[in-house]
Amino acid sequence: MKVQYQPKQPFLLSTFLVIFIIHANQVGIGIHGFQRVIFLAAKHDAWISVLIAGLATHIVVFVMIKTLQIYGSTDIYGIHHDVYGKWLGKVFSSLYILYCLWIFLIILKNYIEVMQTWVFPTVPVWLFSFSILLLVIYGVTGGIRMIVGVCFFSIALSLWMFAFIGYPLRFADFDHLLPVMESNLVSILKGAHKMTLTIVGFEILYVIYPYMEKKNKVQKYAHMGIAATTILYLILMLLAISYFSPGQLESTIWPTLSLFKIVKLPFIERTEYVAVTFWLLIILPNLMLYMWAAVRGVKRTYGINTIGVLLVFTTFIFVSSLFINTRVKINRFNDFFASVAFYFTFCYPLVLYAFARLKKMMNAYKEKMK
Amino acid sequence: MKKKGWFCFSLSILLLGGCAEPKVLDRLGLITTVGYDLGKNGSILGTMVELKIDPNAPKDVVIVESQSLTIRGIVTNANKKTSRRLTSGQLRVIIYGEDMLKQGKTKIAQTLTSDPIISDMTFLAMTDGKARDLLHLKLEHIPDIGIHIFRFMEQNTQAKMMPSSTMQEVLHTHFTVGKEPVMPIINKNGKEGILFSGVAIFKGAKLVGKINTDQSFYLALINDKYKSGSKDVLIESDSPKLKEGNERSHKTVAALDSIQSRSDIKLINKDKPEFDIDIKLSARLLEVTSSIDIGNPQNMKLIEKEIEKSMKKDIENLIAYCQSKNSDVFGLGDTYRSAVRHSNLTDDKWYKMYKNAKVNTKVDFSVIRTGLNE
Repeated sequence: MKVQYQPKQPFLLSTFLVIFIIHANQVGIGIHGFQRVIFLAAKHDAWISVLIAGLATHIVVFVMIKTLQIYGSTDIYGIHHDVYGKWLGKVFSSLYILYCLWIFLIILKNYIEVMQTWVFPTVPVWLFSFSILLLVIYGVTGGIRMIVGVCFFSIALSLWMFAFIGYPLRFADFDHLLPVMESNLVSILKGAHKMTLTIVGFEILYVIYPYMEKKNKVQKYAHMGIAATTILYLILMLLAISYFSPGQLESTIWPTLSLFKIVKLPFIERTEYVAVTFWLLIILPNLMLYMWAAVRGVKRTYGINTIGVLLVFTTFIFVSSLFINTRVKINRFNDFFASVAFYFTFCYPLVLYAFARLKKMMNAYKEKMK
Repeated sequence: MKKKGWFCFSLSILLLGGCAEPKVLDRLGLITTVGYDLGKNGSILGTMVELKIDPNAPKDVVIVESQSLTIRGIVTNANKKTSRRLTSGQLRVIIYGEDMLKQGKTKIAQTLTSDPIISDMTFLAMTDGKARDLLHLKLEHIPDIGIHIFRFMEQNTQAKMMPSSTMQEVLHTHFTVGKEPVMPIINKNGKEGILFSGVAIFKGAKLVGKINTDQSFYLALINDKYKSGSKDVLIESDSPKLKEGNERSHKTVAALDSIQSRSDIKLINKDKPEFDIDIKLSARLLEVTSSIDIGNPQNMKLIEKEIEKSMKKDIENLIAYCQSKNSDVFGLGDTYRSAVRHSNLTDDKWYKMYKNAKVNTKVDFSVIRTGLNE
């Protein structure tokens, strides 16, 4: 396996699309209900936690891109191979593939849960997961250019939802935000830690990086994408704190969706039904990107043909989605994932950077010794 | 490869679109209004106004009653009596009987928000006596009592005659420490149908008092912003110019219109809670029932002063009444919490402080114009 990977010219993507890829991959399922989780930890200062989490993401992405820049054009699988060697590298790459599949399952399950609670209580899980997985197979076989197209359109076509912020704003009571900084720093940081599940998604950069046309501009656009997500989360957090009273927010599972409950248009009385079903378009790029990243990982690490791997993965996901079927199980699954994902997305890039640096220094030293 | 993709795509669309439970309008009974009363043996008596979509039926509206221990069970039980499946997706108004709310600790509204099919914009209201009696009202000019009550509440809330009491707002204030919810009281009114007769005030979820519609204007003046509204203000003045009234009545009343107002609540003393309520309002003066010459600027000043005085008195009475019932409908506690750092305010703590809180009211009224005549 080669460490460097240079896709052919027609497969390269315009660099500015990184904004859409990162934003689309970050915004997904966590956005439904992050306000409550963070509010429980940091009370009405929860918006500060969101800011802190956003800031931490900027730092981690900065380090991630620095790591990739050491190698020029490669992805995380190449770096693993170079840093850990042939066998250990394979172990780490496999872990990364598993991580991608895991988060895929999380997104899928949470979305199905929302759909079942909100709109279709009687439609069985297998039907949702089967049809969504078919869409994912369609996307992944279409290749990365098509998936990025889905990212772009998922954002472009869901911008209208933003216009509805005005409705809850009428009922907003900004006194709820006062006094600022009443919670102590520890609980605010705990809240920021709880943002993990919501804010992950930027780690896709590790896999998508070689496909970017101008590598030196990735940094700029990646930060723009993250800033867009952070601002979106901040707005939704402020809105939720001021629209709901503390007691309400603590008992609402999906505050973002509940915000839609008061939007009343002349031709649609209950906009939240449209929003919930429309959300499929928002989570689709997440699912496609993670599945694509996993399939690519197998191809890069083991050199196995893609279609068969894709089918094995989707079948695996389909079967496991049937077993996580109650709210309690999903919650436990989410919490467990969030605790692992924190180390995987926020701590591991720093470690990897240190290793990559070390490796480079050793190489330079060896050259010198020769 | 391309073909396979399209196959997946169309199959998933087919599956996603084709397997959900269909809801045919002809086979549904839409509940538009529901009333809750205390039933026998601790159960809840639900009265539902069901709207049928049936072109052959002489009457579209049917009243269904059922009893159950839970709110959800009421609809389930009512299904035993109807030919169409009852759904709550079009629920617009919920009416509580007085005895139901007097009990307190009823988690009825909370239970309802847990069901995604019920809109947060559903109006809540109370009625003196039984909600059942109100919904059973049969009058020639009200073919559909459910929609009638909804339109009636919608119209009055928009004109700010009635405090807005959508489920979101009632629950919002209920769950805010230091603010209590209010609900309009709707009563039967003989041949005319229904009447907005007052506002119910709460302590927690428990009904503790009622204020009349006159006082509800002042409540809205403190809590809300008026952009338009009208009000008759009784002037009790010693000034001879305003004393006489007219031959019809010996009271001087000023009719205000196009009221614009703004209010500001400030905490001025943290240790012994003391608040300043500062209300600024301006309006058009259309009618005064005494022979005062309102073209004269000095007389105008006098009227303004007198109106301020009489409003201030009414507001102070209202606040004193609410304090005596220990119901903080103005949100003074919330102001206190947001102004005092680390107050750790809880409802119980605030109830103790609220009773003895001092409230200074200041009203600043000005007449902007007097219509076509001076």
